[in-house]
Amino acid sequence: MMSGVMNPMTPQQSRSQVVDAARQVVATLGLEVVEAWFWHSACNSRGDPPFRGHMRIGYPLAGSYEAANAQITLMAATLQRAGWSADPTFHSHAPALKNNNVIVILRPQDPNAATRGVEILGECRDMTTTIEGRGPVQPVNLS
Amino acid sequence: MTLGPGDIDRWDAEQVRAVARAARSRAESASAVSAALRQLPVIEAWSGLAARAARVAIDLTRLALDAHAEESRAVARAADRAAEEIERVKSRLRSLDSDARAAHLIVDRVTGTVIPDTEFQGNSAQFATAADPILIRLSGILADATAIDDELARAISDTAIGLREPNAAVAAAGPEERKAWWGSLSRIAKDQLLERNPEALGNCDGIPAADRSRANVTVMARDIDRIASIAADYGVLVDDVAGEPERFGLSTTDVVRYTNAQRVSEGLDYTQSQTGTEVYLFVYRPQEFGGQGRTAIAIGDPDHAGHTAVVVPGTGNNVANGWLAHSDDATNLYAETLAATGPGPGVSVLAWMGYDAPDSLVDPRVSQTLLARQGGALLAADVNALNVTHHGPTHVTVVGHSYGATTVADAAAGHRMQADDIVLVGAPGTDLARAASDFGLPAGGHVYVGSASTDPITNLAGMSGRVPGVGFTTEPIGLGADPAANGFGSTRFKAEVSGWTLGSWGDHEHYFDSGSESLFSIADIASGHGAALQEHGMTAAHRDSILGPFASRLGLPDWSIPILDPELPRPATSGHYHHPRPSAGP
Repeated sequence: MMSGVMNPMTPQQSRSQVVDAARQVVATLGLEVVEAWFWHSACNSRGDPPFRGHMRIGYPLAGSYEAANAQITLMAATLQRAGWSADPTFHSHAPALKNNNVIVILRPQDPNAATRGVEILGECRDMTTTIEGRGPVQPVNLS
Repeated sequence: MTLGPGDIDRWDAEQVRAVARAARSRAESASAVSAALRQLPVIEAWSGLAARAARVAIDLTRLALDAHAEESRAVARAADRAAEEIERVKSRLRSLDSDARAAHLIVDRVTGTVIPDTEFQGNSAQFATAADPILIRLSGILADATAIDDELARAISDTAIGLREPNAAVAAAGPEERKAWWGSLSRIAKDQLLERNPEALGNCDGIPAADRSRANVTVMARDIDRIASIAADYGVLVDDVAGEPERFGLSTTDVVRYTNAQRVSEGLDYTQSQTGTEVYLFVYRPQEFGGQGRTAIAIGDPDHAGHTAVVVPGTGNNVANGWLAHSDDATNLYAETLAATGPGPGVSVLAWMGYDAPDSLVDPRVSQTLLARQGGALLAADVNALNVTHHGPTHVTVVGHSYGATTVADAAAGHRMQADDIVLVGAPGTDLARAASDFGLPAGGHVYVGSASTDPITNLAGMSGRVPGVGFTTEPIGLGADPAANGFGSTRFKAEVSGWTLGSWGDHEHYFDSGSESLFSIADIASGHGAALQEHGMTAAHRDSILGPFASRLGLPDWSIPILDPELPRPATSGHYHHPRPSAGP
């Protein structure tokens, strides 16, 4: 088992951390939210604590992959003006930005998905949630 | 072919109805035999390998019989419909004859046109005025008659194919033959078979993933409903039924199926919501491995993806304990591979819980190769089945973690698994594969290895006869060569972990973490850009004996020679960040 983290969060705090960040991202980008999902995600393959809050926001597809890319580049720039910045320790093939220790990833357009995705990852500080007890993926109302 | 009025005169609706009766009778016979096979008492009581083989054979026979019955019913329905249409067309032609006679005209059977009779009085203009409406009606009748004829012919010939092919193709049971058989069926016939025989078709190699998934989801829903509906009928909790199934006329098998169906359903819900894309239930066998279950979920359609990756988990995971919903390994890899791929038909990642993994680190089987070799056979069959139904160019990467890496090595080296690239992370050894060349990869294919220097499990690789904590076993122990070692022939990528508190599994469980060097690198490989690891600064030096080339001359046991890992003093890298690939990108 993990021996613990500094400054643990409650499951509710870890949920609020990403839901608040999601609201901020949606407002900053003026995103039209088609769907939004929250879940507690284990910060390892084993399903052991710590857990983090995790979200996926679905917004409408662009006309093409290229158009989506152009928009995503603009979205990243907009977020940077709003205080989000690159995190050199976080490796991703998609644009990833950090603010108050929350990571936002702007996923590319998936030809097989009904929406485009923005992913939000909170901090790995929730030592209370268990993999068995975390429950199903929850829809979130961001409006 | 266009029919004439003479053909309509010769039509006999009763003869067509006789065809319908014969087809219906044949359908009933086939259904009766199929039902009798299902209810054979010996099948319920019989156990062992021979019984299992017999059950498979019986299932295939039932599948063929049910298909036969359904096709026969389709002929019967088509023939009945045609008989009614024939009567209507004949009646319209009789009415036309009567109207023509009243105007002193004849619908000529030989020429298929309208001519004046001997009593017609009038010039050619008057004839045209009288004959034109009759001709227009005649052409309408003939067009309808031709359509009826074509439709009946098509129904019968479709069915002739359907009746002939399933027996041959299904009995042969090769994925290619099954694919040919399935491809020969009409969509209607496929839908009916999926509805009637989901148990037989869901795990049938050679049938497209989308159709397999429909069948498997049907079976899964029935497994849930079997218990849920009884609980509702009796007004009790599902747990009450699951706790004492016999009281409700059910068995412990029903409970196992229910429990695993719930786990799989959760897995489908999670993966769909996490990725926003379509997910497919590619394998569903809830009773396998003593009730631990055998299942694979595909995120994205593997039959049409430009790149497919198969994630094989390790020790301690199974369907019953919830790996499909609990682990983000496959969904994280899906998201990163999609980002690394760029424009195109998209990607697919299979969360493959398709083998019996050791139960825990203290399960004696964790240090033995038996489960990896058995699992390797299953993995090879599933991966090779993906190739059979795939449309267009494909690139398949099989990713094994922990004991799953040993299973992947055995699938490739022992069971001819057809993968383009291999990724082994946290590998405790490669058993039958002594070197990268044993994986049988095509030209350009590589074995890629991610082994954190601080991952204790990877440090077991290369040892034999000594695995801590399992020394009581009398079986040979040790899982084979270390693929991260110098001389194995692999490409090692960076997989160090930063900022974590070590636990008993240490850094063995962070290869699929979002933002990690390892996930970033695996996505490069799975998207067909393995060569980009160098460009991205993600390649790592291999492990080597601290004694270098002299070690082998000393005659010491492998485990006693200290290993030097050049990755150990290196902190995890930073600064890897990419904008989305442009459409003209590699």
